[in-house]
Amino acid sequence: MKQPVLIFLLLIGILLRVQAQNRTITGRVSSPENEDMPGVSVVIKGTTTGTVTIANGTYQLAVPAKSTLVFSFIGYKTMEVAPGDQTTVDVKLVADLTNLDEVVVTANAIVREKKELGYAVSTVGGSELIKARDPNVLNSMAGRVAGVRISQQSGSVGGSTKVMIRGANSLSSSSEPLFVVDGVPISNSSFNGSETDIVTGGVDVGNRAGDLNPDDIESMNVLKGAAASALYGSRARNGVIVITTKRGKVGSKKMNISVNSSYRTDNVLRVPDTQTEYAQGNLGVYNPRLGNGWGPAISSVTGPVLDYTGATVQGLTAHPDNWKNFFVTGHTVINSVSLDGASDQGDYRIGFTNLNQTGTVPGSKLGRNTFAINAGRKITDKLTSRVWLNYVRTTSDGRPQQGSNTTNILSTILAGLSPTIDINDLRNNLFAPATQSVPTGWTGDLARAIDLDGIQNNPYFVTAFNKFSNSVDRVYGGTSLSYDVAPWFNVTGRVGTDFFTENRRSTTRRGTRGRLNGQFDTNEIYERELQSDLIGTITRKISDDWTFKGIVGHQFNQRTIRRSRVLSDGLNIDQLYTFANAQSNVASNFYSRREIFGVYGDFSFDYRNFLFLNVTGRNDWSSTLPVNNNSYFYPSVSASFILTEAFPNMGIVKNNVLSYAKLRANYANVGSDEDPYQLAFTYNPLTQASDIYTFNILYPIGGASAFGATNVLPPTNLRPQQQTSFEFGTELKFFGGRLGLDLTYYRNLNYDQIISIAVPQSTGYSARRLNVGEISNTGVEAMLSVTPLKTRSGFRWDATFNFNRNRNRVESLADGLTEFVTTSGDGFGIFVVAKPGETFNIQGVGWLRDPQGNIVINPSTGLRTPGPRRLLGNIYPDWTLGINNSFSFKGFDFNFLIDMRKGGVINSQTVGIVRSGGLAVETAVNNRTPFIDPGVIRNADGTYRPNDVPVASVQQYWSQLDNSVSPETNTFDGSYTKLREVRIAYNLPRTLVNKTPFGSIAFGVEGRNLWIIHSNVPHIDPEANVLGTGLIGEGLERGSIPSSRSIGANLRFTF
Amino acid sequence: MKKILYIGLLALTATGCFKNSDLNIDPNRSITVDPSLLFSGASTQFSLLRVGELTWPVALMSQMWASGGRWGLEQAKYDQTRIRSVWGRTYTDVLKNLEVAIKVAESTQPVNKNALAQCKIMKAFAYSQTSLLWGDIPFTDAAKGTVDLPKFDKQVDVLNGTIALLDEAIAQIDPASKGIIAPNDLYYGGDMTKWRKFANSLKLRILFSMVDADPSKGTAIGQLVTAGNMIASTTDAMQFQYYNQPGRQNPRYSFTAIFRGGVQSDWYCSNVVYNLLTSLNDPRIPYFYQVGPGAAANEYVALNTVENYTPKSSLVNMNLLKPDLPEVSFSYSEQLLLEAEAIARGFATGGFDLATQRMRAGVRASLVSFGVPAAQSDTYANQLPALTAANYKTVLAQQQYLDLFMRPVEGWVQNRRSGAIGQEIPAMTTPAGAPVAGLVRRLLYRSEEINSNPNTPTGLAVDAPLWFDK
Repeated sequence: MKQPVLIFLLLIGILLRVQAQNRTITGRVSSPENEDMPGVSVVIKGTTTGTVTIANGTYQLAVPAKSTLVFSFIGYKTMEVAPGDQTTVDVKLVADLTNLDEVVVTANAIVREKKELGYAVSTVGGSELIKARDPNVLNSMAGRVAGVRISQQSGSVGGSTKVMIRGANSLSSSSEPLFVVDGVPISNSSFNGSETDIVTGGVDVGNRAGDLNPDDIESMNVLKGAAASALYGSRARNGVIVITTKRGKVGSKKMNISVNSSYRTDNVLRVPDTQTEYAQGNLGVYNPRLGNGWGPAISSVTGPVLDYTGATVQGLTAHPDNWKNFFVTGHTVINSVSLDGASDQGDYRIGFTNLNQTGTVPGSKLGRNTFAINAGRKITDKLTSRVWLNYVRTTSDGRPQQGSNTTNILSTILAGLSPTIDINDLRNNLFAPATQSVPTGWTGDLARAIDLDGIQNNPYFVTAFNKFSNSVDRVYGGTSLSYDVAPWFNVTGRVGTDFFTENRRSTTRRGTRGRLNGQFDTNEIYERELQSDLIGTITRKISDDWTFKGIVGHQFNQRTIRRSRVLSDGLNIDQLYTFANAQSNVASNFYSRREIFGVYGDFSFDYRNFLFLNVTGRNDWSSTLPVNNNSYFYPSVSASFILTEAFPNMGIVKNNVLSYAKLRANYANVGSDEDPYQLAFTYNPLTQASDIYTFNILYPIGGASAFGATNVLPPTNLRPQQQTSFEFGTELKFFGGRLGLDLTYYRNLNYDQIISIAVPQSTGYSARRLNVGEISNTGVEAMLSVTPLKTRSGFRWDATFNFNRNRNRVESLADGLTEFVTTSGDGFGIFVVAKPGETFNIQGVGWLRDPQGNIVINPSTGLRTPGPRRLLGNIYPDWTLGINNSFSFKGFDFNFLIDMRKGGVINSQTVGIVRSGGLAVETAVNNRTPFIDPGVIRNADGTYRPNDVPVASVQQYWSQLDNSVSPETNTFDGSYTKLREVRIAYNLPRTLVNKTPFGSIAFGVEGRNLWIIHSNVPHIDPEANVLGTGLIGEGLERGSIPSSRSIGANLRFTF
Repeated sequence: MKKILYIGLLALTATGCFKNSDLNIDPNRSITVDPSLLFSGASTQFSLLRVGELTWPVALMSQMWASGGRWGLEQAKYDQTRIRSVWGRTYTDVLKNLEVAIKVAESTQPVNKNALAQCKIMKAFAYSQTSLLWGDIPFTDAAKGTVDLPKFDKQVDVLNGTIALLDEAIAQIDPASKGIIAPNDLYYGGDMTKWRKFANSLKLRILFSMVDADPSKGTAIGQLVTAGNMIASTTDAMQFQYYNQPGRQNPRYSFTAIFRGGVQSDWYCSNVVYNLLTSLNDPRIPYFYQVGPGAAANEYVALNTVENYTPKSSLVNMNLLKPDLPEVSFSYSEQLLLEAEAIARGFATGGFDLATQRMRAGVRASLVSFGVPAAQSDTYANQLPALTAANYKTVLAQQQYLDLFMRPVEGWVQNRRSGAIGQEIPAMTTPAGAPVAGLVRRLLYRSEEINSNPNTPTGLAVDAPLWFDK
């Protein structure tokens, strides 16, 4: 365990030498057009010592004898100059169209040249994120990064966005990547209660990475494999999103001011297509007590009848588009302003962004204010410091509940809304008239129902009174101190933190049908992460050909979670949501803390700038593992070879057919720990006893409190979890960069997973925790970029194809275990199941089929018969493809992004409900004449004949297809093609801008999630997922709020 | 150099990490517990399952109540998906916690034998109930956490096992010292004399469920009745109290209160029970039922198993669904009627005179418990025919069934044991459209158990009788 320390001390001993004599060199850096070039990095080769050029392009630097200066700036070729005896070095940079020397930020905020890296890294520049601003910055990454799948979980304001890099890695926890801002991990938590809470009426509370402000982001680098991130520790095994925030830049003035304003509108992209011909009822008989469309033709009901409120009306009228008309246009306004500046002594940036959004659900809104400060200071030639701090306050109100089982699920209500109901009546009359079912003895306000029996609430009553609201106060930031002990030896210390407090409240007003006495739920969540790093960096030229760079570090990480919740039931006074006004308050709380100590080393060797070898190692000690087995070491090795630089004289290289060729390979292993407090046999204080009818008995009852022993048998001899990964790739550029290909093959294997395996309940326990299970992901990522057209006049067309194919496979489970239910949607009748030899699948009751696979029809009814439970399909896609085309001409920029997904399935409960309720448009075709369902009928001798029995009634046919009978028919191929984004931007030409007080002016129009070009799923957006980011699995839609189509405009200018 | 030293030192400190740390000690949960806290949790959960999840589906499937087509709980469907959590919760939240409480009590000095006895009696109660619902169930291997795949014991072995458990508990009871007391003993507040009475009565109930399949149990029944020391008054009854406070209300009330604003419109009057009451001219009709909202006063309209409700359909009386009604685990009337049966069947001495006397006392107690005035109850009880060898089977079974009107779990057992297959009292017919030919006779094993325990018996139909059902 002490090995890393010994290696470190040894290296210090070998490399510690006397410092050489310094002298000062000055000079000016200019562009090919001889313009001043501020902000160019000037570094002494082989060291981290350096400076940047100031506004007029000049620099000044103390340099040891026999040094070489390296000048670099993004978009230009890096130049090396050996000053010899000169004290003035002027340089003219040359534009680089192939971006050979792109730098990327990797583990622990270490900046590396991309060519050094033996693994795939993708970068999204900050400028991409602010051209089409989305409140959740992760959405802007969709389709842009190879190997990364971004999916928006719902159309709720502040809704969550799921990120999955290279497939699912775990049977027991979601495979969300680690988010790191300026070297410090931040929380992406999306805590939303238990699985049951989420499935039965959860609110999409969003994920905390959504707090990131696009305007403060300089770049987002995606480190995809374990090798890219061994230095971050265990959590990096799902990949890392490394975010670098903006710093002050040298400009033509002392202070740069930039302003960015956006406005956008949101409308629901797709709502179910509903019929407008039939009234509510049963088998063609009108019945206002029901919320469906199985009654008679609306036009046939003419005489005086009772309507849904109990009022007598003369005949019924059809009201089309109730569903669509319920939603409103959402508006988003984002304004940001930033001030920044820099000199050779330091830099600063202050940013403020205000976001105000209203959603498509009436009354839903989100507000966010972000303050960002980032300042660096050169204290002495050797000592620099930096401090950065972000404060975010997010508030939201009126997010709708999704899922099932509570009275407030909007889409369940809408799915029962008969076309005879005028939605304007509901909007204008929230309360029940005396003619509608009023419970005996009820006084006070009562929600109008959409049926005479008073089962389902008026959706406008729900949005007006039964609200989820929250506020988040969050601070993240850090400080670092960096000291050059010698030109080749730097020590950096960094401490960072991220903490937030979130208050949530959801209310159900007195008079809500199904919860007549009202209730409210109050949650307070506090999370804090603290991390410190001490990093020593040594850079030495070993010989003319070899350069060595070594990083040794120590890390401490602590994570604390504190939550408390009060469920208050039975309100004495209407709409007074105080604990004292409730007839019962049940409080519960939770606290957890975990710590990790890590030591790590990262050693790279550079041979003549074309062969790079990198070896890393890390040892962690985790507080959550058994004390005698809490230490684990994990190594990685990677190599990169630049073919074009090794053989510059090869024919195709010389004539620039092959401009750049790199080969890379890596192997890595990551160990990881366990959740806190899983090791002991414990007794839980109980808050309630429950059965499936949810009428919980609360403790204390009759004065008695209660405890229960754990339902999970604790593990014995627990080992750390493991992941090994292998990756091989190449980057190729042809014809000076007009054609590029970045290709990666990877395979990772996760084993010794720590999961709770279900044991028979008759053991008295529901699960046993142990190390089992292997999951692998094998895949290919390809990014092809082409410039088909480039004219002298400045017209340019670039196209990028971003392809990803991942094969996820459950290799093995515990002995004797044939399947593992990762997420159970018990109320759905479907489960997400891991089965050896398969990927994650949706499982549920399928239709009975003959040996040829034909559906077996019941000859007495003409209907299908539920058969055994079976796998209904993979939840993950076979492949995804993003196609981005961009055209630019003289300041105009036109972009459109098409996103495709092939394979994987989605089960939609919404489809099931609108069909079984007789409201879907397809239930009304052909005058509801009974038809023959294609299938077979079993003969007495066991053979089959084609079905010739018509369905008993169209109503029975569609009711049968509900999820509660069999989810099979509501499970669809999840493939889709979407027009994800269209963007037009215009930068005012410099000649015009120069006549104004502005530094630059840019204007843009953008549209997002514009068009479902192709989908196999009727009625809904195939991207929806009720499980959110916290639970494993996707492909389950239930009561989701429809996603939005956004159109907006953007104006940016600088002073 | 100093800095380097610090780095080295810092790194070295990591090597001894968490050796003596209490960081991974769970601040949310305890590693020790008093058995009485486990006992109160197990009892509350057990009572809730009986009065909640096991009430509606069982009452509807067994035709004790009618659904009127509400809530998709059509009797004809024998819908068992509504009994999703009872199996699991009985083992993991009731039996496991009792098992752990016993272990903790046994390892604490001095051993609290009364606490052990109370836990064992509850254990016997829970196992016998589970077996009478499902048949063969895990018993010897169950709820211990030491056997990964518990075997399914035969029903006869499970029921014999629960009797042995009760004998063990009775032997450990010492009424002079304290066991689990109030408030954690939510049944008897720590009165060990009453616990002993209940243990004996429970033994009697279990023996009666076995005696048709194993006639040798008659002797044991006789001995038990002769020895006495069973539930002897209404104050001895085993019941779990609920309160008219949110979260502590009887869930039968909460259902109607929450979903219907207190308007009972879900549980209807079933033909089977109504016809029996009318044939007996039984005064319990207006106490069992209330007339439908569209019916005239005293216009009682019952539903068969597949009929949809109408505004005239009678409903289960809201007075039986009050928030502060207790869940009854063993009543005095049940005891008296069982004693009457023991005597009538000749297991105990006394002959038909004594049997009739006990039966009338039992019926009287039953009527009073449903709210019938004492005088009217007496009149009805006294006009019942005296028991004879020819009539005792029918008269007793009818009264025992009616007595268990609000206790579907026991009511269903009573009906199944009241006669040979097809000759039960009262007689019932298979609902039209039922998935099987016969009456429902068992609960099916849950998929959670089937999927994880290969020992789970397979291929059972809902109308296949259990061992005891002869």
